[in-house]
Order: sequence, then C-alpha cells, then structure tokens
Amino acid sequence: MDLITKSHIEKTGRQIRLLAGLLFLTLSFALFSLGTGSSNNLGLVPTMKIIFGLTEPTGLQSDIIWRLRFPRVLMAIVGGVALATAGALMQGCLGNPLVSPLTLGVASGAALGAAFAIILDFSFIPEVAIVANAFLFSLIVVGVIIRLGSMRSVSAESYILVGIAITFIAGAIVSTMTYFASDAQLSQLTHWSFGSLSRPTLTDSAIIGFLVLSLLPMGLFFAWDLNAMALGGDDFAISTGVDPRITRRNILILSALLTSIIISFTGLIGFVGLAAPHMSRLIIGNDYRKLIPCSAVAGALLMLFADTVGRTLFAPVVIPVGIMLSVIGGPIFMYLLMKHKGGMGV
Amino acid sequence: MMDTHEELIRGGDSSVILKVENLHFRWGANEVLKNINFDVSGNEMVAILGKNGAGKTTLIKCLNRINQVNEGKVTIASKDVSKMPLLDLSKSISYVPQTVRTSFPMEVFDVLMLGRRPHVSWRTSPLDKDVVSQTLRQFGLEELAFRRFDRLSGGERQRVVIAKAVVQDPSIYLLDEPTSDLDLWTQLLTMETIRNIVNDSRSEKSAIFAIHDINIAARYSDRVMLLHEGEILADGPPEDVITRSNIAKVFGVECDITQATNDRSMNVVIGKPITKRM
Repeated sequence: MDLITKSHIEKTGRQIRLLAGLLFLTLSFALFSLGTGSSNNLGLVPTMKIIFGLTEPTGLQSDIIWRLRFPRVLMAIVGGVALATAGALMQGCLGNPLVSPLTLGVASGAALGAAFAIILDFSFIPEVAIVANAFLFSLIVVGVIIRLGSMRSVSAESYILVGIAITFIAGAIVSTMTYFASDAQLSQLTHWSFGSLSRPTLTDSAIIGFLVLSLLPMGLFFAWDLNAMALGGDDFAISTGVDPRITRRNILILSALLTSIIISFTGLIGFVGLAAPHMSRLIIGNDYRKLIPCSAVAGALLMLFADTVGRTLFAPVVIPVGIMLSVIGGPIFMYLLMKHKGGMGV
Repeated sequence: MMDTHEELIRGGDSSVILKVENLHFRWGANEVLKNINFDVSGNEMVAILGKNGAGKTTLIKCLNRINQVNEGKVTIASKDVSKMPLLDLSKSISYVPQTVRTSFPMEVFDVLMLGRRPHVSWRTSPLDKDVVSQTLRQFGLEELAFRRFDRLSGGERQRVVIAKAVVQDPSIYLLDEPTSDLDLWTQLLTMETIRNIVNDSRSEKSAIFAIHDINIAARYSDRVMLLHEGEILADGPPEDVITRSNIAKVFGVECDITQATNDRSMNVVIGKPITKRM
C-alpha cells in the first residue's frame, strides 16, 4: 500500500479512537450524573448497584433515579447532541465561526411563542401550551428560512441578517407584552428563558431523543458538501458537484428543526451550540465527516457537565443549565481559544 | 524533461466532447459574451487568450454552470449541461479557479479527497486514498500531504487545487490561469503534467485553460482562442492565431515571433507597448 495512504489511514484510526474515547467518557459521566443528586441515601455507589441490578430499589429510590434523574440526564445528552450538531452544521454552511443555533432566529420565535402562552394565555394546544407554542412559533421561522432559501440570489449573509432581524422583531413584541404582564407571568417567562432540563418528563425525553436520533444521520450526510463549501466557497463547491444554494437551505432547515425541538422543551440554551463545535475542532480537526460526530459527543458532555454542577453546587437549589453552561463553558472556551489562537476556521 | 512542441502535440481525429453554440452571457445590461461558438475534441488542449475583462473567466464559468448562460447551449458528450444533475456534471468537468482564498484549516490530503466526492457515496475506500496519494506524487506534493491548506503559499495552493481537479478524473479540465502563482520550473512541470494527462491515448480527456503567458499558450496548446471584447476574434493552431497583428490588436503591444522548429516551440518576444491600448 502507498505510504501516504498508510499514514492517512493510521491518522483516521487515531481520530476514531479519540472519538470512541470521548464517547466512553461521556457515557461514564452520564452514569456518574445519575448517581449524583441532593438525595442523601442515593449516592454514586447505591445508584450503580441499582442500575446494574445488584440491589432491589425501594419505590422512592426507583422514582428518584428513573423519574427524576434519568429524564434529566437523557435530556442533557439529547439536547447537547442536537444543539452542538446544529451549531457545527450552521457554522459550516454559513462560513462563519460566530454562528450558533440562536442566530437564525428560531429561538426568538420560540420565546415569542412562550410569551404568547404565558402572558396572553393564547395557545393552539392548551394542555401543553408553552411547549406547543414555542415549537409552532419557531416553525414559522423555519418557514421564513425555507422561503428565503428558494430565492435565487440568497447568500450566507442574508440568512444571518434575516435571523438578526427576526430576533429584533420577536424581542420587541415580547418586550411590549411584558408591559401588560403580571409579576407571576414575568417570573415564569424569565424562568423559561434561562433554559432548564427539569421540565421534560421521561416520555418527553424519549420522544425528543427519537426525533433527534432520526435527524442526525442527515447531518452526517451533508459532511462532504460542507467540506467543499467551507474550503473553496460556492464556485469551488459547484465544481465538486455540490449545489451550495440548495445544500445551504437544506442544512439550515435541518439545524433549525433540531434547535426548535430542543428549545421548545428546555427554553433558551445557546452556548453549547457555539462552543462544542469549536472545542471539537481543536480535538479532531476540521473534516466535517469527523467534526459532526465529535461535536455531537462534546455537546452532550458539556451539557451533562454543566447540569451536574448546576444540580450539586448549591444543592438542593438547582441552577438552570443555560446559566451553568455560560458560567463554566465560557471560561473553558475562552481559554481554549487563546491557547490555540489562529486555529479557528469554519 | 521538456518535450518539443511537435512531440507534445499529438494531433488526431478524436470525437467532439464539448460543444458551445450561440452562447450569450450578460451581467445586467452589460453583454460580457456575444455569440460564442466552438467545439473541443478529446485529447485536445485549448488556450484562451485575451486581455483583462475580455471574458475569459466568465466563459470558463459558463461551461460548468457556475454562470447560468442567458442564451445558447453547452453540451458535453451530447448532453445539455444546463439539464445535467450537478453531481454528474462534476464527473465530466473539473474546474480550477484562479485562486482559492480560505481560512479553512483542512489538510492537503483531504482537499484532494474532495475530488473523489462525485465518485463515492460517503465512505472512501483505500483505493480512493491511493488515487490521492499517487496524484500527490505526480505533482510533487507528497511533502505537503499532511500540511494545512490554509498555511500553504499561493503557488502551493494552486498546485493542490489542480491536483484535486485531477483526482476528480473528469473528461474536461477547466483551468483559470493555472500558472499565475507558480515559479518558472513549477509552471512547466504543472503544464507538462496536464499535457500528459490530455495526451494519454487510453482516455479522451481535454483541457481548456485561460492564460496570460503567450509562450505557455503556444507551447502547450493544440489550439488558441483569442477572446476580444466578448467575442472570439480568432480560433486555430497557435501559429495561425498568435500573429503580430492579432497581438497588437488585442494586447496593444509589439512583438517578434519565431515559429516552432523541430527542437523548440514557438517563441514570442514582447516588445514595446503601442501608444494607447485599444
């Protein structure tokens, strides 16, 4: 076999082992997280014994593990995977390292929907008013993206600018509504905007997990196209067989869907979608075929870590994950950026 | 290492691969290309000469649908380019832009691997990797295989992008000033490599390249197309097209031309500019 080929194959092997290692670390941390909480008699060791079937749990223990902690840990993983994947896809197809899942305005749409439910008591599905509103309003934004994508001369910047415009418009409407809101409503809206993993039930997490899992392979499918677009721009992509306009639109629709599925249930969580892809670039390089899976795993780990610290730091008070992500992830992210200055392409 | 012109040019009666009929292209009201007609056969290498703004780059981009033509038709192996799926088109044509400016830190090996994109579904086989490795050697790029593309010099990048086009294994190469950033030796090595690929009688590949260096055009092409103000002023063998009067008309400079002999190719020595350019 050719020597250059051989060293490339060895290199790919190292990267795959690295990815497997990161996945193992994440799953181990998920187990650790299941065994962590404010309940005194359910520490790490007893929890592991219960999970692996070595001791019979009491009804209360079973409830704590499977109905409180498990949905939360599952949601952290699924949310981290979805938001980080969306972030990596969007940074790639818009050719911009500053982009996060919140850039397209999907989240602002969701926030507007939540405000309609909380303040105006207006909803299409009253039983699950906030979630349903957040999701449906963010779908309106997805619709705008589709409409924009069908225009002939749309550029990467157009999407970002329209996203910013949507953010301003939705923000202004929400601000206006807060003038007419009661204190209780205001507090509920503020809490929604923190981004928390405590809301989804086991069924919710399972449904979200299934949706995300079925959308993820599509993200990987775009990896080649992203490489071509990121490397040489639109002309280079066309000559490599990629239609940049259609690809960009499809990737953005996928990212927007991933984002709105998560954010409708959890509230605003943005940072993981910005930071996890960049951290992954430092770990595994820029080839999107490896970067997308790596971002997904890194996102899950980051989210789990932030949530576990948020649950334990001031236990029994739980700090919402959206806040913890920025508090913990922010400094780590800045440190990595400064240490590897110049290494941040998209 | 260099062959003479006579040995380089095979000449032959290969079939027409690319056909351009009544092509018009406009940017708004500005008509950039007017009624362009030409054919390119297999194993043929065509140089496009013309001054800045004559429409060389625009014409090249019309051939592989980067520019959507306003009128006229481009066909490859009798198939209408505007109706071909892009992925199929990229199996037939590969394009080397003038420059690739990027901050995307991808390794050279993976850049070349992009050339396999039209040929694989998602996974690449060791066979694809071998194609990349061999092409790296062919262009003398093996030292750069695992270097970052965004940190290469302009000339190195240009060679990498040409090598990527070769990995793509198309029937037509479109090269926009493929030697603009290269040193003298590398210019010749690169053109020689492309010439050899085109000459290979086992396949019917052809190349179209826009270029400013008249001597490179004369040495490596079977045919020269002189583009002037959006129209083809002359189209034929280098010795017919590269004449004192044509050079004066298009570029506004005087020149002395020594015709090709058995052991050396045609040579154009550029003289003084003729007062004002037309």
